[in-house]
Amino acid sequence: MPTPDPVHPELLAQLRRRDPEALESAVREHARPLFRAARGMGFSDQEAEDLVQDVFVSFIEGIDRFEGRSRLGTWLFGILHRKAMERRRELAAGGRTDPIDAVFESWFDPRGHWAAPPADLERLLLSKEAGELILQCLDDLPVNQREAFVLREVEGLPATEICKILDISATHYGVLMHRARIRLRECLRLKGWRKS
Amino acid sequence: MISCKDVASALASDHVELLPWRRRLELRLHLMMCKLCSQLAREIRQMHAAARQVGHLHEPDGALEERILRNLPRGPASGGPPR
Repeated sequence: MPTPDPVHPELLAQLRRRDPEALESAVREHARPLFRAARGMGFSDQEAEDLVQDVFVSFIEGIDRFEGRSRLGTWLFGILHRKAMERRRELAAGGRTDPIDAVFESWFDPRGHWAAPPADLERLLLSKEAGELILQCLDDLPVNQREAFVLREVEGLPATEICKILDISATHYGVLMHRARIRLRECLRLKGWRKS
Repeated sequence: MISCKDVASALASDHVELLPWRRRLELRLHLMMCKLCSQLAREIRQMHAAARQVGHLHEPDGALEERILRNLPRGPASGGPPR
């Protein structure tokens, strides 16, 4: 993980001068996490690489707007998010309702107790194929839920940072993560049934 | 009194740390007593661990950085806005 501190003023000055060593160090530290996140968002290898290239080109061209108050990684992930949204040309704002909310509701009785014991996914989640199955299930997630899930669970970013990157409130983040996890759980449950 | 649904919702939303301390305490106590909710909490932790594997499945080849660096603009900054 990159350092949690804001960018050091000296490094910021070097980046603004387009100092080749500073730029190279930024690429070496951040290109891979950005690439993995883009792949996690559903882009192909080539699309992900193009996006990462775009991110660094945009960063260099607009470097004067970067004041160094946030982590460099946060700034770059923010550019990736905007580029990904542009690339998809989707207004994935996420509706007020989502069919997965009804699935979650169905788990509980009117008093909020479990209506039936939840399916036990422990064996599936501890299996070697768990990562591959999650990858397949990620394809079923709406874009914004997938993005929040990948940044949190795959890249391990803190929730506060994800809210900044996606420019969303903590409440909206909670809704996205809730729906992503319930949807993934349902998908894994179905895959578990197929496997057994 | 916190319900199983409240607990499941807080766990899935990644909002446990944002709860007021009294509510968080209630949630912890509930998890100690409720087998089904603690099963869900364990699954969420396992899902997190499994999701970390996805990153390894998406690791780029060793020459990514060189290709990125080769295609970056050279010379002094133009100062234009990104995009």
